[in-house]
Amino acid sequence: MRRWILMALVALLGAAAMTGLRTHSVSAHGETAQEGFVRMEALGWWDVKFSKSDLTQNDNMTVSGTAKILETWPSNMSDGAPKICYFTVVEPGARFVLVDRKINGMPAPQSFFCSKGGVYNFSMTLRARDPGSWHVHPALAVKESGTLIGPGQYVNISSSPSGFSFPLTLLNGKTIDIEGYGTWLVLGFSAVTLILGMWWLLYWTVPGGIKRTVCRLRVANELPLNQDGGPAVGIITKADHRHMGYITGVTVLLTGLGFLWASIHYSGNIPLQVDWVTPPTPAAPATLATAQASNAIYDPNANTVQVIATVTNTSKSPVQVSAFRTGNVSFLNPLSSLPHGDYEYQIKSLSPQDPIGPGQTQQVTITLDAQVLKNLELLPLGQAQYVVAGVLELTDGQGTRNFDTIQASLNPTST
Amino acid sequence: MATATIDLEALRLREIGERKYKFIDRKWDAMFWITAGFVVGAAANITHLLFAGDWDFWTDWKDRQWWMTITPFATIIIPSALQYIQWRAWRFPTGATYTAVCLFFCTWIGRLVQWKFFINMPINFVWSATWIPAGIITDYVLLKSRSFILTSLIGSATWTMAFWMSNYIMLLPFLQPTKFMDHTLTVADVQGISYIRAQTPEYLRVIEHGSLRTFLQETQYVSLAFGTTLCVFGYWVGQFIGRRLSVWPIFRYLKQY
Repeated sequence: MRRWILMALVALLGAAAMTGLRTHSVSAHGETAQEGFVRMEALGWWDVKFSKSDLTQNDNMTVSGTAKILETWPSNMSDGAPKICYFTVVEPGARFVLVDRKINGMPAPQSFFCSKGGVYNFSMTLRARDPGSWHVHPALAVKESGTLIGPGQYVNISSSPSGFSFPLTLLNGKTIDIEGYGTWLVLGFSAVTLILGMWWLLYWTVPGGIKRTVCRLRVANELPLNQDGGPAVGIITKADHRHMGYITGVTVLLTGLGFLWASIHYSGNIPLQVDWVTPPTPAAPATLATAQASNAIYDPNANTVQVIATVTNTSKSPVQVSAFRTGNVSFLNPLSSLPHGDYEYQIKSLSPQDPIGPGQTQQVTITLDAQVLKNLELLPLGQAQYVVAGVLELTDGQGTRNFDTIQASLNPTST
Repeated sequence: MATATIDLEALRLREIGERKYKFIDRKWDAMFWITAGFVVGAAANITHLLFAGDWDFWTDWKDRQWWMTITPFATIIIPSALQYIQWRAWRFPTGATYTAVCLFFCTWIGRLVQWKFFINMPINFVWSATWIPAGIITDYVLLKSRSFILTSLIGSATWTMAFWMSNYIMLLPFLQPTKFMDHTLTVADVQGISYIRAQTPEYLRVIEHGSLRTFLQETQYVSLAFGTTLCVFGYWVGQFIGRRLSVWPIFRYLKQY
């Protein structure tokens, strides 16, 4: 018995201690909980950049990059045809406020109309709000599917002596600080209604001995439901009616006059706005080559995944595989660029390493470190679709880039 | 003779009501009101969250179409049950106010601890609506009418109207127009865009999007009328809970005296 009491006390203490924890140490956002093949088939991310990694409160930072809704978008999500999307950032609470968002150069305060195969160049300006070190990702939410998270990084915010403020100018010319705007009206009015409610309840429950509760049951039990016995029985008196009339009168006056005052004081209000936009289509990217994947081989012994693709160079200059991007991770050809950040890795080997000549068709084998995919839960072993998908990036000598969506069945060499 | 009989009956009941009980003192009353507060608050909050949770969490969900239609219905169920229980047992016209006060504490503790303390959302974005004025007026209707049918008809209408008017006082500052990202939006919209809710994208808002079916473009009043009708239905769902799920099982097994 004592053991049980001790365990219960420890559990209670643990629970109490946990209520004191805040979210300073959160760095994961649940992206690995989503099935790997879904993340690989759904979106491609590239050129994701954070303009700063150290800020002071009220400083602005821009997260920009490109997201493509891949042609391999899973047929069971959004009926295979995403239509409404929303760019956001994933962070532990509102540590930043979003002050600007552009998609393909167009301001997009709310959701936007999207489609399979669509390429969206985004930029989101965030203003630092809460001091701390926060892990931040861009993300694209797709209606009837969910939120897919792009590459992220830590951003540090140091405190400013003046604290955080978020000024906004209303159409009537008045400038407000959204951070605290209207708070006292909300708290004040709520508190006044609580006083009225407590007045009503205390009248019936507390006065010494007159308004007893439990022992009224014997009287109430003997009266028909729609009768209170009147003053003769005395459980509801004329004074009770009078007193309740006062409280109700005050309540009606408070509500009515408050409504009138607010309507005059805050005149010119408008309903909540639904402002969805269709972003312009970005300039068509160069077409240097076409690529089609034929196989993806997972070798558990070598701990590698080999993606085999056939590339046809349709341009007039040699092209080279510069990256394979899948989910929110990129594997880069070290001959083109070196990885930096938490979501970029080197291609383990590329065969053949030489560029593909103009007009040539060549089979290339891109070998990836399977451990990286496993760590990010991207290797879909044991999942409903054994598949590898992503964006194969090819570059010519002038730096012109070509993006091809590829997809191949994943075949383990052994189980 | 008949009057004398009634008077005698009244006197007998009055004597029962004023009788001093050795073992049923005010501690029982305090125990009831305080312990029941947790149960009633939780029941009201769960019902509210199940049917109308998101509308109450954020200012940019508090629209003039859905918020006004769904919330009065969702939040009158438990007050109605409590009205029946407290009137039936003690002739107290307190059920709706008691529930509204319990819900007030539940929601505000949630907002302050979960939303403000844990993730530092500004209170002016996540404030809870108040139901106390609506509760007082609905209890008053029961006190004066002593009829659950009349309370369901008049009380449900006053519940909806009082809910709308009392909460619009707090909401109106957030419906002021402003220009943000080159678009005309309300302050509430800006709050919803700026204070990032990673897993609540904007398109999830169930708010007025516009249609060809708004009567003379008066969305607000159509919603209030429809909300009132739904509220009458909700009131009788609450009565069912109060009568058949709460009180009836007790009396089924309680020895009558």
